[in-house]
Amino acid sequence: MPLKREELVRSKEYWVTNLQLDLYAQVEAYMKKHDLSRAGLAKKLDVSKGYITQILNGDFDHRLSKFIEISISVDKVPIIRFADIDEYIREDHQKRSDDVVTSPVSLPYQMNFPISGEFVGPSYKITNNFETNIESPFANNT
Amino acid sequence: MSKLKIEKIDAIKGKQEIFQLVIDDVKQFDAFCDDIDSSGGQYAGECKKIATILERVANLDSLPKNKFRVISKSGEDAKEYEVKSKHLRVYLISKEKGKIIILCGYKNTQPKDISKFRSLKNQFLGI
Repeated sequence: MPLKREELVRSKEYWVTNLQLDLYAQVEAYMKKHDLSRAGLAKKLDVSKGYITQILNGDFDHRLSKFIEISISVDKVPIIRFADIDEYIREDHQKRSDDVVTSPVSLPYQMNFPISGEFVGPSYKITNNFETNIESPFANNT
Repeated sequence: MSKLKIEKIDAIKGKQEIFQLVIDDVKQFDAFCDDIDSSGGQYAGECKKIATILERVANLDSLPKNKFRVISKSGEDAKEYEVKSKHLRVYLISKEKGKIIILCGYKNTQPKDISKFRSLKNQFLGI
């Protein structure tokens, strides 16, 4: 039987791998921004180089507290949201692939990292790496 | 002469589409994962990990080199890629707005599989 979308989304591997790769992406971006080597980052985080290698291989599988500590160390906060799995699968099935990719609210977990931008009319135009708009809380006042 | 065609993998959603090569009605990714699932044991779950990495590839995300890397030699007609999990390897080529899985294999059969992958790729591209 071919792998079904629902089977994939219901699997532990799907969510673990996605979180590991999200953490990798954040740490890698931080290292680039601050021109840090693996050794430099290991020193900053007070962990071994092997530990950093694990993160940068997308294989982080340690304690939740360490996951959060590393996120904060790279100037990010991980915000995890839980969604009903059946509801998620229904929404995922209905959405076109582009929506799934660009809409963070479609994910049962959502890693929200600090963003920068400005209010343009009723929307908050994000100027860093997220391609989305957030409705301004002041929209009704303008 | 084998009959070759491609088929989209519906389980993977992204900006790009991921296809699999079908050789004489045998779907390369599906058949490989079926074998792994039916045998159980140490590789169970790794196909789902591979599918998740493929979804990130389809979304054009930056990925660790030990998960996804270019393996083309210079001057190749179609760019070649390898997706890796702990024990499994999946070999792909680029296609306009997507990628095609040509062959799946194991870590311990990598050199032999890469050679078979290139042969299948050339057959598929009619080279």
